[in-house]
Amino acid sequence: MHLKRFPIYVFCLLFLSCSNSSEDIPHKGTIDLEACLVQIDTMMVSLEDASGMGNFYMRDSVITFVDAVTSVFYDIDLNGNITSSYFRKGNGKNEIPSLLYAYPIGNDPYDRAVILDNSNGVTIFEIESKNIVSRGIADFGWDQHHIKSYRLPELYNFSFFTDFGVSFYLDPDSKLLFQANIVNRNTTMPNEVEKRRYIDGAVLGRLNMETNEVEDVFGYFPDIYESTPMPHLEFFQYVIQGDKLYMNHTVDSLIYVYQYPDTPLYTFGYECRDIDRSYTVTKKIDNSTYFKKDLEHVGFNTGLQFIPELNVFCRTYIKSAATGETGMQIYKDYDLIADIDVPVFFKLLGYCDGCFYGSSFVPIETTNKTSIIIYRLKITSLSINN
Amino acid sequence: MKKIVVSIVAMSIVFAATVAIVSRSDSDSLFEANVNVLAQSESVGEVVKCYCKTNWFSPNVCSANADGPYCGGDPCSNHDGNCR
Repeated sequence: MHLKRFPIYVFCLLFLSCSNSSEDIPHKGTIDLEACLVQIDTMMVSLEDASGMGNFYMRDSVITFVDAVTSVFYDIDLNGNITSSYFRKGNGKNEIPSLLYAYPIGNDPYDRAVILDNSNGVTIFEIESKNIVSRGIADFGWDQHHIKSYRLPELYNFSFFTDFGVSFYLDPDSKLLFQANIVNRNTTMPNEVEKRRYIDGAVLGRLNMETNEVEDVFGYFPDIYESTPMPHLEFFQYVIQGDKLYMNHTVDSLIYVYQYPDTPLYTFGYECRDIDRSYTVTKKIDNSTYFKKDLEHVGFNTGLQFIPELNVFCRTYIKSAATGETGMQIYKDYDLIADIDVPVFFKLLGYCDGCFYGSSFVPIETTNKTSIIIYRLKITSLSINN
Repeated sequence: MKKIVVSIVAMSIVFAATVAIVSRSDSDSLFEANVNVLAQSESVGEVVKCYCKTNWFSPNVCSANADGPYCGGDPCSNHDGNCR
């Protein structure tokens, strides 16, 4: 190497290392809000012997509620009728010993879903036949190596905060993509945010479903974490559409678009209406304490979905944890075309036959029964309907 | 002498149990399937460490899929008995 050129190489390296900065990538879209007419139907679905605690997902015209306590899955039609229930707690065939959540694999040609239990057990089942096709325990390699690198799986686990839902996709090699979380106890300094956490830290992982080995981690945190560390609020939602990855970090007004896997392309998105973003900024790691403190008032981005029938992205957000007031932004060709109020603690599940469907994060419980709530929204505006 | 008697009794119990399982498995395929599944689940089971998984809309649970100190939630199905 010629010594005269050394500074140029250093400059190039520095330039490349900063290439993930959102300041370097363009922002697309404008604000072009239109008047919307929103009609809301509310359906209360009573569930016998159910806890009401769990998660929802929607496939075509079926909404599924997964009871995390009883391990029973309920299929519900778009009029709020339970059409079938299956699985249960147990160790037998088609039984689930324990369950944290279950979600379908977004782009799976075999139409399968993933069940994760509280021992990092990964169960795969076919949605149509409801047959369990594989079980295993995800291996992050925690005990195999002792390398403290933010680009190796040894420092990661599945996402810790999952109340807003998680997403699974297959990558081009049929590996399972999932949201990853840094395991603080595995880091060099588990009590504080390290210098490289938000520079090298990954956000997604790839699981080999045949060996149950987590093969690698990838993706990046947006700049907002480096400038204002919030280790208790590192969760996010993501969408893979074609060869692009769309990331919606819970604390950020921007939506980040990457060429899969993690080449930044551009951002879009505008701040959510009336959202309280006064999060606790800290380098100290005490997730439970700071999360509970922030839950007294702050708001969060709670979901990102692409609706192919309308060619729009929908982003939901809770304005304030204290009130649960919820809004939904709709983006078409990266332009913000609507920002509407939706029911309190609303979770968007999907779209079918001209209507949006969602659920409430919170079930209704009385002494005698548990009910879950399904919402049907008819949103009428010029751009959405054309 | 005592040891011989104990050994004979133990062998008899094992033999009787084996005969019972074999005769049942011939007539009851569901029973056999359940035994196999249980055996499989035991063989793939691995002791995991449990930590507190913080939730908002449901109670916190004790899980390997977490990073917090122990919070009193239900332990993992195959936890190490020493939730943190």
